[in-house]
Amino acid sequence: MIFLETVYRIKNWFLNLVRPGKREREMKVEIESHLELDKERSIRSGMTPAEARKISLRQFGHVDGLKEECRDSWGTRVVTDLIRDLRYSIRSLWKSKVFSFAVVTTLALCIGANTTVLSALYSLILKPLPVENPERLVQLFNVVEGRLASDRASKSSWNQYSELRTRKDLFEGCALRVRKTKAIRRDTVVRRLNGYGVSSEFFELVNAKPVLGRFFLPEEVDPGPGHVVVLPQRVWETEYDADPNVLGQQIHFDAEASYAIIGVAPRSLETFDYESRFIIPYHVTARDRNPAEGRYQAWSFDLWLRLKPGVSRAMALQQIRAMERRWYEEEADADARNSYKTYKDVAFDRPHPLTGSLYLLEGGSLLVLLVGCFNVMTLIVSRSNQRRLELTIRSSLGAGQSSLRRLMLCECSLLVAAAVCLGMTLALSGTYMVNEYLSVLSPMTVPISLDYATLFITLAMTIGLVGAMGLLPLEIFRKTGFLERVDSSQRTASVSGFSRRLSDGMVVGQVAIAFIMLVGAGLLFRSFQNVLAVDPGFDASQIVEGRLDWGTIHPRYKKRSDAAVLKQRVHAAMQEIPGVESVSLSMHNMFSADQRGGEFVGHLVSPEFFTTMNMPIIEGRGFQQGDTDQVKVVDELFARRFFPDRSPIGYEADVNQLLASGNAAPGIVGVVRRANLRGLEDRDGVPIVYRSRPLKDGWWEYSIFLRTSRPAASVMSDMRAKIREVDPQLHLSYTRPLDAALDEMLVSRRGMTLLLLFFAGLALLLSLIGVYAVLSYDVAQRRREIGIRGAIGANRSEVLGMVLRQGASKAGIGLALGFLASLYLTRFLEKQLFDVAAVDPWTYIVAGLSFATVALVASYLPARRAIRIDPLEALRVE
Amino acid sequence: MTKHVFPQGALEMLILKVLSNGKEHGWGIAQKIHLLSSEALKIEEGSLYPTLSRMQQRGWIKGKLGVSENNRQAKFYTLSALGKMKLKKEREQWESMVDAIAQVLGSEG
Amino acid sequence: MPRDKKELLQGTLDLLVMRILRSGARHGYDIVKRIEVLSEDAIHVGEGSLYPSLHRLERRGYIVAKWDISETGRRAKFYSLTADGKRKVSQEERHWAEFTSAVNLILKNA
Repeated sequence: MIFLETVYRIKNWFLNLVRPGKREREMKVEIESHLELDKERSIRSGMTPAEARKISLRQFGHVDGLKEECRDSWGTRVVTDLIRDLRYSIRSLWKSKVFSFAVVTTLALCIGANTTVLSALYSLILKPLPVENPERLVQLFNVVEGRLASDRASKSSWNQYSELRTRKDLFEGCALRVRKTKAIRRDTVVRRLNGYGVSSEFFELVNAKPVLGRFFLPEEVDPGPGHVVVLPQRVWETEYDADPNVLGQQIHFDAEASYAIIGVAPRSLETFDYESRFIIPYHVTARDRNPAEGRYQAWSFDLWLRLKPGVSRAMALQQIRAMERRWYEEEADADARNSYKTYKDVAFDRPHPLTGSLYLLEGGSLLVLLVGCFNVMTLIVSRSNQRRLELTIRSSLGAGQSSLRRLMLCECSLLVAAAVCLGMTLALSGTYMVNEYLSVLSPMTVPISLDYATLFITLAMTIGLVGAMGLLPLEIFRKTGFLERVDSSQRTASVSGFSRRLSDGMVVGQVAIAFIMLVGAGLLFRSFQNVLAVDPGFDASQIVEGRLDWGTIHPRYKKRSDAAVLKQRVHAAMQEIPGVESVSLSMHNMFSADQRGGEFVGHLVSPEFFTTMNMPIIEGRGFQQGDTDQVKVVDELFARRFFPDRSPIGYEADVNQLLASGNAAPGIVGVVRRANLRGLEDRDGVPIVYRSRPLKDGWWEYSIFLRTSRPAASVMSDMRAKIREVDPQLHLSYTRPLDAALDEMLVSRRGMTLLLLFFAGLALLLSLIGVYAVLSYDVAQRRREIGIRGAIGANRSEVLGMVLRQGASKAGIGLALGFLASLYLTRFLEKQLFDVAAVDPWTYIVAGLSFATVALVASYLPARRAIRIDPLEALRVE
Repeated sequence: MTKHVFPQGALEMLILKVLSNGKEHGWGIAQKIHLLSSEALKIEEGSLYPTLSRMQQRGWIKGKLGVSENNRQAKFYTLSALGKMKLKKEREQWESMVDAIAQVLGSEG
Repeated sequence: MPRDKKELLQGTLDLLVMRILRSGARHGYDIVKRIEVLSEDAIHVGEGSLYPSLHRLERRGYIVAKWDISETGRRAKFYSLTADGKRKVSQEERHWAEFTSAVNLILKNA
């Protein structure tokens, strides 16, 4: 029977929801007929119709209350109330379009900015690796001191790897990974693509299971070389259309044997390297196996380790340090020991290069969010005060506290919902822009996306916002009380102390935060300008670089003599290009170098290098054709740093022999102007020591520098053509004009400066809107007072002064607070600053002045309105 | 005549009983209860109509518009099958409650 | 109390309580026991209903309370009817009788 009843209840509830009119009509009919019947009975017992009706009604009691009770029983109350609240809210919000628009846009901007930055932060830095027990998977870094983040590179070797492999007491697994660039030939097209080579344990180490086929066997690595390749899943899907029969197909690596596809690696590997197009077994060379061979080598040797359970990072690091020490003492020969000098320590962490910037951006967007919230609350407070009249009437008509609360929450939810939709759209486009940026900055990273984590955080934020925004007006009412009498003069009664103090406090807060951000952005802007002003030390605009890599040259020119012949031919060919004024070669490309000594870097160049790059010799001489590689030319920075009060000429540029003088060996012969080859920010960074190699020396990889006044694009295509002339199988890995390369190094700083300027501008705008809003509300509230003052003879400038003083005092306090806070907070910016002190006075002054000016403008409009108040009008009772 | 506050369910029971005799509108139900109880019981509209509404929600009674004796539109109620079962149940409960109370009231002392 | 969720109205409960007290002063727990026994376990009065009822009756002056020693030797509040209360009980008993006969009239007819 209960079951039957429940069925009926649901059915009726539903019917009432869908056709409320029917029940309403029935109820109306019912009550009316009852009243009629009652009246007729009264008439029959002798009353007049009018009396009868009156008695009926009185007996019936509260008709409306009765109706409400009946309606309650229908169970659709909740829904109909909600619909009614929604319609009322929408109407009400539409009437105050400016308010609604301001609130929605402010919130949307804040939500959008925050979500974007948080997504970036999460995707790039905070997200754990997609492996089991990610906290036990570590990458080994042999740390070398240096100013640039790239100095903390992996720099490991087969040597180190094979020793670490044996330490089963510390590690469950150990794997090697090396970046490789190969020319892949498909049909007649040759493309240079990036990929990597791994030792066989790599896949197991990162818990990767083959999507198709298998992974490498140990013997394919050592002794190897196994001519097999594994495709990353992304490549399999895009280039091979996820063909299940892809196994066994061949990939043709240029100038080498073909490799057979034996497997497909899962998506999880993308976290380690998004861009890779292939994975091959690492090919161990004889050089690798030489135990005395250098231990801390190329950048791209990544060493991954999985700690055994119970082994802490500190413990493992300690053991590794001991291991390195032992290698130095027992195994390294003189040459190898050289590389040990660069070794400072081992570490398991390397912060992502963008970490500082991202946290800074997040700080900025949180501040903007704060300002935005303050702003919105100010708007709400003033609107609530305006609505006191309306809400009082509602409450006197029987709306209880809870129904008013429901109404407020409904309005806020609508606003916040609109803001969230808009904000998410902004975040999506923000994410898109960040990814564009990232593909330039760090091409290996997976593009960021808005994932569940950030969605969740946004949701939490918005619920908090709704709660605060919704309940705030009601709090104000509780403190101020409803209007006792609804009369016209009360409409402009002075605002209660509470809401006034609240708005004032928020405006002060906004101003302070906006000031802090202006200072921060200003400091960054000046830093950026300073960086731009750095003289690169060479004439970047006239120089074009082309690169020939080991992988291109070595397979075909295995003998050094062959490579030497090639080098000379290349050099000659380059000189034939019309418009080329000078050609020189350098073993290293522009922005990396050989790190022999920890205190400086070495560059191996051809003798005319300084001429080509237009770098003047300051002391001594440059290179000559006959020089051996013992001859060194150091740059100014080196001279200033290590030989501050004497000439370095004659000395040795070797850390241990710095103070030994005048050996038989030539040593330092000259000092050249400082060239910031590693980027403009390296101006005070690592000094460079140049050594020269004659042309007839065979090199297997080098950069070609051409100085030319012709436009870069045509010179670069000439370069490529010439190389093909020399040997059709050769190709340049890249060609680029050096000024473009320098510019690219600034991308990160430029982007961040712009973004923070944008945030600061936003905060400034919002806080000024706040000042404006509070002041104009104030003026509106005090119309009578102002009118009276005007009537008793206060002149315009006095009234103006009064209003401006109001604005000035609030802004002034905010500025003072902001100033104090900046003094403390700018220390967090120090890493990003360049040639600017954290408490640079000019920046503060400029920020303060511009703020004051704009604040003045914001106060001006309400002030003008105050002046225009006609005393007669203001005093007239409405 | 004293005003009685109906225990929960007593009013529903009486309405069901009245309707078991045939369809009736709200006013008519109140009248019948008044008359049949020798004018001892008077149902206030304030309790009658909300109760009728609740009973209709639960499916105990069915309501439909019709024409009353003075040629007016009125809402008529009829007993449903569920209502019939309910009536029986309510009667049983009423009777056992009355018995129990009688025992307490009828004790000596 | 009948198995279903029917509850005694305040007025009815007050009536029962006063009726019990007519035969002598009792304390709270005793009142509950007595009602249970007399109704053959059909009516259970919970504490949540009893004490508000006693409070009501006391406030209206129908009963008074006095501290005394119970049969178990403990101190307990004993309630007894006042003169007003005695009158009220008779009145309410009459009302109840009228009510039940009125309802039964309807139940029997048709």
